[in-house]
Amino acid sequence: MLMAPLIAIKNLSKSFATQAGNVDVLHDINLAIEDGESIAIVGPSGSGKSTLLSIIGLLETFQAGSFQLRDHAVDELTDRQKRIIRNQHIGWIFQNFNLLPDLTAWENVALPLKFNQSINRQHYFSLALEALERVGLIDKAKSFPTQLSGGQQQRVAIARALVTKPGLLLADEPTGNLDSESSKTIVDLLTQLAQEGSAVIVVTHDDSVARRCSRRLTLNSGRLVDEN
Amino acid sequence: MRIDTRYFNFYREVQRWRGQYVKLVVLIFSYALVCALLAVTLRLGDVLFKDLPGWIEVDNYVYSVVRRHNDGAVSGIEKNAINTLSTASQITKTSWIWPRSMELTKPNGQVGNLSVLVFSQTFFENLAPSLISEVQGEGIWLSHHFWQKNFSDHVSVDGLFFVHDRVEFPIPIRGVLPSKFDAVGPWKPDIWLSENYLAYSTPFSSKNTQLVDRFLNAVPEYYGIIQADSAVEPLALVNWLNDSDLMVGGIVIQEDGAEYAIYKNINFDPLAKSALVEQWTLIIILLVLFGMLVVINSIIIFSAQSLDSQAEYRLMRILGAKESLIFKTRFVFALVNALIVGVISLIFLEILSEIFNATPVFSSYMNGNELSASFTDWGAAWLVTTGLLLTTTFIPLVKQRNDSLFKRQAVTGKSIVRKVSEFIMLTAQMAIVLFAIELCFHIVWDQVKREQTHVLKSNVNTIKVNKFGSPISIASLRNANKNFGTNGSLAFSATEFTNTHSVLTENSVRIENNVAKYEMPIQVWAVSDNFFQVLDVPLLGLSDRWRNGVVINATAAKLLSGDNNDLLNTIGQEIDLGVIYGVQRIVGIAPDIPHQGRSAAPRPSVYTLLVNPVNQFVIYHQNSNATHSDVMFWLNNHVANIETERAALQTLIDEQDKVAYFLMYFTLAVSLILVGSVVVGLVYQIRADLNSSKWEFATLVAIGAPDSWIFWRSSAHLILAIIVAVPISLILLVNYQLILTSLQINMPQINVTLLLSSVLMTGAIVSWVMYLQLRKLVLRASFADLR
Ligand SMILES: Nc1ncnc2c1ncn2[C@@H]1O[C@H](COP(=O)(O)OP(=O)(O)OP(=O)(O)O)[C@@H](O)[C@H]1O
Ligand SMILES: [Mg+2]
Repeated sequence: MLMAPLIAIKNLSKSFATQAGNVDVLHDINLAIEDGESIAIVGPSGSGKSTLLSIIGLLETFQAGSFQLRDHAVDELTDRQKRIIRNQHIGWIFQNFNLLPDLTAWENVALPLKFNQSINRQHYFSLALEALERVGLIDKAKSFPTQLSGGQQQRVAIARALVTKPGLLLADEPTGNLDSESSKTIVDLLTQLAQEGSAVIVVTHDDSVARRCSRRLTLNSGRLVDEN
Repeated sequence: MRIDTRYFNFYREVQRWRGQYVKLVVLIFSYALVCALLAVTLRLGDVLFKDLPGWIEVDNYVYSVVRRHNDGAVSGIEKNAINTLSTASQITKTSWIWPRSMELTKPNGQVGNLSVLVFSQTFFENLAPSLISEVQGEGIWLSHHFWQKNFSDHVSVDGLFFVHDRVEFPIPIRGVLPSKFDAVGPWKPDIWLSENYLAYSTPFSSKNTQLVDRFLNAVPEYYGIIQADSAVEPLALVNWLNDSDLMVGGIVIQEDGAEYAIYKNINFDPLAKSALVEQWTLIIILLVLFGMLVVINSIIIFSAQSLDSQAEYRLMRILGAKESLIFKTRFVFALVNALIVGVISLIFLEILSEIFNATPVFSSYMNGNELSASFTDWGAAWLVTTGLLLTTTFIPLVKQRNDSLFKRQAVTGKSIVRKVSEFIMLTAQMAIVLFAIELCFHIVWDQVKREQTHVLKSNVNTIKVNKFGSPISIASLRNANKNFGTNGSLAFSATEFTNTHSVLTENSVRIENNVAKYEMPIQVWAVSDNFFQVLDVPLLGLSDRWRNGVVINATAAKLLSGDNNDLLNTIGQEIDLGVIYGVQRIVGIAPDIPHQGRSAAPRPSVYTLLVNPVNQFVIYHQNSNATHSDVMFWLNNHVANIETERAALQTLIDEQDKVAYFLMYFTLAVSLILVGSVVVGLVYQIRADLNSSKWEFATLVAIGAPDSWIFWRSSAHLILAIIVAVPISLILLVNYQLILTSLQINMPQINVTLLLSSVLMTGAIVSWVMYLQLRKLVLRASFADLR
């Protein structure tokens, strides 16, 4: 039997209810993504890139259209099911790294494992160290986020995203706060992950980042304008 | 157009508060309240611990000597003891007063029962030397208020006399005392009498000087005032006095567990004083708590403010604004606030003083003198408040100044120091809430207990009747009962329930083999024989219907039984109730009925059978036996020409308890305000706290943390704060109790159930606040919060 595509989005629209009325953010989005693809989403500020990413990451709901995530119709999932999918199959990377300041690097990395009841406590440590090894920060395992540079923090965040070996990695301007040297390390890591079979979606303003992805999607005023 | 930059900056400072004016007003009022409370407390402290009353002209080392009873009440001591004290090494002068009532014939021929203060020869010489030339020799000096009421139309009181039936010659009026002598200690004497007349008030013939002297030396009625050349340690002096041989040959002093007590300054009413001290400590504690709260709140508010204005501040500095200008503007703004605080605090001070002056306990202590605001006390309080205000204004600013101008915008954790100080503030607020709630519980509990133990349980109604024309006989009043089926539904009294009509009876000391009597006031009520039944009060020693004799209350029985503690012993004894009521046999003992309210110490009382026809009387009936309209119907048909007034007995008693209730509600109100403001502060704080870490919750949601985990992470420190606050509040409570105990004030024992319920209640309040905040902030954390 043929496996269903990882992501199949059809005619999806999204609006936000605000005090000034409904704000349409995404119109009629059609999108299919397979495993192992690396995709850059580009477009002007306010065009809806982050919103699209958050829908794909099961953090936001949508009003119209359909969103099939492998075998699941997303609009039929309960909050609990979405949470479990986010925890086990999706990895998030943010512009501001978003590491919990009171936890050490390895504790931050181990955090998603903690929320997965099927993983044994004893494995936290080795799995987290393995992930840190991957991003080359094994020696910083005991450091707190404030003791790390921006690039190092983002690598810890990537370790946190990949520790569950997710099929889908979502990154919202992961290099936005980094110098070009650190950016390159991050993008290397992300493309490597795509080669290993995870789908990687990166929202970025940085053309050098977008160029290294297998596909580029451009959003303009909530519409996917072209694809190459 | 040129704008004066100073005003512009000030205006900018005011504008900074736009949308937050309520906060600013609350802050200013809080500081004003702290200032006023501080001023009142300082002033009260002066009154309680420093000031000598106005009638004393000397200014130090004055002490009162009394006998203190088990219940804290005090009475006089023997002259012997005062004489012995005068030989103590440090003591330079001794004086005394003997408060009593005497039946005297006034110059206009009227006989009156006057309140008299007999004073020792040395009294004015020692304590008010400026009057020495006016108060000399023997006779009567009128107090100013008595003179005003009775003699103000006389050109002079010279040559006027009072007559006492045991003094064979008239007693001359020698003068009028200044009004500051209208009240001395708890007494408001009509007249002052020189001590030589005491010889005529003993049970012995004044000619038998030896017995008279012994009696006067032995009778414990003198309130001593001693002066020393240096500070005296009261306890040491009491011990010294106890070790001295006070026995006047053959005199047996009544032993009732009472002990000598020496107080600093004039203190003849330590119960009133300790009630006042209780208020004082309560205010101090509330003040400390309130002050802490205000400081915490304002630091929070000012910090939030400077966060808001941080960007502007940085910009101003980058643009080269002089730092001194920024500081100066804010300083001027804070100073203007402090001035407003001062003005409002004066208003609060006035209100607080009014409340105190209207409090009977207080005015009885102050002898009708008012608590006047003192400028120094208020000034000191204002300076302290202004200091607090300035500090809390500048702490955040100084902190901000140390921030670097080009701070890297990055997500960094709060520093450990900041976290710990936030936690301490949180815990302090929780502890204050807990303590205030615990205090409320105790006060309410105490009141409930008092109401439960008090003797009148039933729902009794009273109707006060005033009959014009001829009086009505008690027999026809009793007839009314036949109309209501159940015999004994209506009881009567000739005097009002709360009346304090009293006569003098005799108490006794034993001298050699004689029993010597002296006068003691006892309250009298003339009531119908079924009075106690209708009020549902059990009687001791009277199984039959009450046909003759009198019933006394437990307090009277205790006094009359003397060293013999068996109250029932008094049944069958006779008691002399003066000319009107005569000598009566005691047939029963009633528990103390709270005629003067539940919070007043019961006084010795006698109930006589109502026999004479009356014009004024009070009907008592239980609603279950006869309704008000039944009774009114009967009254209108059988007793012509009347005026009536209806009241529930409970209401009459409550009226007497106004002071206790006032205090209770005052404390409850302040505690609730405290709890309220802490909770409001907590809401602000928790909300700000959660807001600043919203991204954390959003991140956790993104990586799939369960709600329960997020809840736990956001509330663990609050739960920890409650857990730490419980023992702290307990320590506060125990300390409060220790303070009260050291001041000989009773507070109910700490009650575990109460404590638990207050902890639960605080837990409930905080959880509720938390839940509301969390629901709003955490679970609705959206993707937008991730950045
Ligand atoms: N929670 C929300 N409520 C209302 N409007 C929102 C919300 N989130 C996003 N928007 C609006 O949706 C539009 C798209 O926002 P989005 O954050 O997706 O843009 P973006 O392409 O990521 O921009 P940028 O490159 O600046 O990050 C914007 O106009 C924004 O104002
Ligand atoms: Mg975006």
